[in-house]
Amino acid sequence: VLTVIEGGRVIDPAHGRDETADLWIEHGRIAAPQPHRAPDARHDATGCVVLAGGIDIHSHIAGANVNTARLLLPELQDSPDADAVPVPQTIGRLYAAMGFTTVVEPAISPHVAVQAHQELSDIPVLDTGILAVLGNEDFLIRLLSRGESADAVADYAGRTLAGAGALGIKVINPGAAAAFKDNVRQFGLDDAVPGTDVTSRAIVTALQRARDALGLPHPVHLHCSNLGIPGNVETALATMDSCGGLPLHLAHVQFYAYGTESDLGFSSAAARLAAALNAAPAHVTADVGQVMFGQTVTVSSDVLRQFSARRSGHPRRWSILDGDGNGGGIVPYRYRRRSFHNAVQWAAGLELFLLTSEPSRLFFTTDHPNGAPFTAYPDLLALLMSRELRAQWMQTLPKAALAATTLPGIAREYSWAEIATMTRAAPARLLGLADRGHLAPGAVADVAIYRPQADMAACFRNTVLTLKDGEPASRDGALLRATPGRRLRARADFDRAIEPQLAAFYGDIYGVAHTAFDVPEHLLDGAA
Amino acid sequence: MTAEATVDGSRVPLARAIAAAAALLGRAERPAIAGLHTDAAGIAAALRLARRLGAAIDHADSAACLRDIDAMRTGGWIVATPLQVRARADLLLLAGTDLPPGLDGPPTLVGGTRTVLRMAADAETVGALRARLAGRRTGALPASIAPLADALPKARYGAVIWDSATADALDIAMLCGLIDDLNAATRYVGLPLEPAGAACAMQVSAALTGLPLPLHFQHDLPRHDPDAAAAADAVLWIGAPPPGEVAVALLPPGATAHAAVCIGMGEPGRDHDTVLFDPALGALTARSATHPSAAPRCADLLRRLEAALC
Repeated sequence: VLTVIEGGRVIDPAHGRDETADLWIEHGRIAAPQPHRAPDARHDATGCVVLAGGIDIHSHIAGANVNTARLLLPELQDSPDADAVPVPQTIGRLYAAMGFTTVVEPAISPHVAVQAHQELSDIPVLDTGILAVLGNEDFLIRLLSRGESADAVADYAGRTLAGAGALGIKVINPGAAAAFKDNVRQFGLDDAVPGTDVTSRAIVTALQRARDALGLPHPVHLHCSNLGIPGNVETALATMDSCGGLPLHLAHVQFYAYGTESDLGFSSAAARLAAALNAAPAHVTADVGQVMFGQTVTVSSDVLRQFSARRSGHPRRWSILDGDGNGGGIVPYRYRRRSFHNAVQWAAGLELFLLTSEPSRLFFTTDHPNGAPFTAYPDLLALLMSRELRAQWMQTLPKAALAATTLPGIAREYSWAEIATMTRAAPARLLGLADRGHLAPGAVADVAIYRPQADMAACFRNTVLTLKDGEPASRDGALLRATPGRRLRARADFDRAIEPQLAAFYGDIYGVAHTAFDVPEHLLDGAA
Repeated sequence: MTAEATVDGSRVPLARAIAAAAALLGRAERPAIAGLHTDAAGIAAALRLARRLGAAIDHADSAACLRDIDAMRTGGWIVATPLQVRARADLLLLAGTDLPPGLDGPPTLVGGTRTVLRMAADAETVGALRARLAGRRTGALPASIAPLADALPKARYGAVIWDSATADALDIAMLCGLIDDLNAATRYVGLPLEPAGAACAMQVSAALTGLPLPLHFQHDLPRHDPDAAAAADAVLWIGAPPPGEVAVALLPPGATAHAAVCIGMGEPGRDHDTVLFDPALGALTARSATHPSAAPRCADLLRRLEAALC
């Protein structure tokens, strides 16, 4: 099938392109212009902006923790807040409506990867992948505490990623979940897992080296220690400083952009964090984890943090799991405009977006659903593109909160090209997915057609048309395709000599086969 | 092997049995899918069929899992995987249940010894224990309470184990409260023992609909309804044995039923590859067929049945 999208403004920052042009598609891929052939399908994009399909690098859309959140909050399903706990069918429909076609679920413990992949297979349209959470497993802590070689750590990581069908390595408050099982309640970068000399810092470094040795495209994707705590910008800065020698992605840094400078002992330190990110090596990247106001639920494998926060939820419910490795915790939460703390959080996220100079190093996330459901993206994009809109929002927020931030003085407005870089070109590069995030011939024909309008949130909420693999997937918000996308995963070589070690450890310690958690190929159907 | 299929007791080709089942369910006013003794794929297919039929759907053992979910929602809970309990727990408190397999030795990861204590799971006893632990004044306590109150806080990583099929929701909530109390100073976790099939069904139901079983689909929308299947006029039963007469039964090898339509199906993990909940892992797990055969999968039968609906 030969398809042409006619007369749109084609913006492809990966190739420095911003022009009115026709975009040709054949065999599910972007094709060179074919003006002498009659297309089988035409889509009029006059007056519209044509981008590659959006790529979300960090959105909790599947797995046991997400499912626990559903079971904890069944009443949300039939409410205006349903987007906090969407089911797979809704996830695919709403992402496709926004022009997103690739989404990474960033926190799957290898022991529950089977369940996560099952759920991902039920999501229409989207290509998906998981990051496997490493850094708190009993086996890894033992390897590190015994001073086993870097090769052994890399082989373990490679074996575990292969078993889990994962795209990369996620590290969440490394060492803290293990320490919590030993009754530790606070755990920082230089604290060691009890009974060992393995520090949080050492775990990150070991996994960065493992990622390097395995040749994984995606850097270690790190959820630092001390999330959400006033003054924790020091943790983020120290982490960047000590681990920034190798590629490193810092997740949802808004939750680490906090100082203590106000009467309430809480302030935004986003300006310091953005300055540090600007000055850091280019291989240090971050995503924001923007807070937006409304009901949501926090779903996190940072079990220590969730345990500490378990009584601060709204509604007041919680569930905590000591898992094999990280485990997790579910705590519902409502971000309120009238809350000093929540308003500072909202502003800190926007400061990070607006003060980080390179949109290629700062990624667009709300850490769905932790900062806000992903359905808040249209409002957030509109805020980034309009100083005037931000001023309107700020009028509704506590003045004292805004005074604890630098947001009111920031004039920057994102351009379409910067939006396209942040949500398309850069995430494809960060994930090592050369076939997407751009519109050059050969790229996967995932295309989003937006109609700019006065209400830019409306523009971003429903594309005129989203194409997946060259086929219509969503039009004006209506889902047109029921089939799921492909599964994205990394392929890394490792030494199978690690298998007998794992078999012995799992047999002795857990009384089960280590292979019991492996994801079979048939659950990864269509894996790229 | 071809599928065993009967209509009104006579052997028929599978396609005819499917058509007869679709006719019975399609013309029912209040159809229900019950039993649900199948794997994750079968449960997902049953949920899709229930949506299509506007039917009620439930798992035979869902009540046990619902009690746990109720307790989790009511007061919060801290639970652990069975693997972590085996690896770390130096104290097991068996609340109205027996020692599960695999936990009889010392803690495998941390070493030392493992103490096993027992108590009744009823809310009154647990409440008395919590009061004693909190130093509150209590009336006369059962003699068993004082030694428990003495021993429990001394554990480094204690696990409270209950049988979700026999404890009621209030008992479980009270046990979760006890665990939370003990976590103020040391580490404690809960380990609910749930029926594996229902645990799998709850996970699949939550993932596909956002809600736990039992459900009732009306106008394509699922509603959680504890009495969903009570007034059914045509039941599709999955797994053996149905408690009484049903309209349609999908049966594992060797099983029989009082049903207008009976269709044989393979055993997940034996006849075909499967994903199911393994209580020993505390997780869904994928298994390859041990004796691959052509016996139909439950999920495939349900899809064919759905396709045969007018």
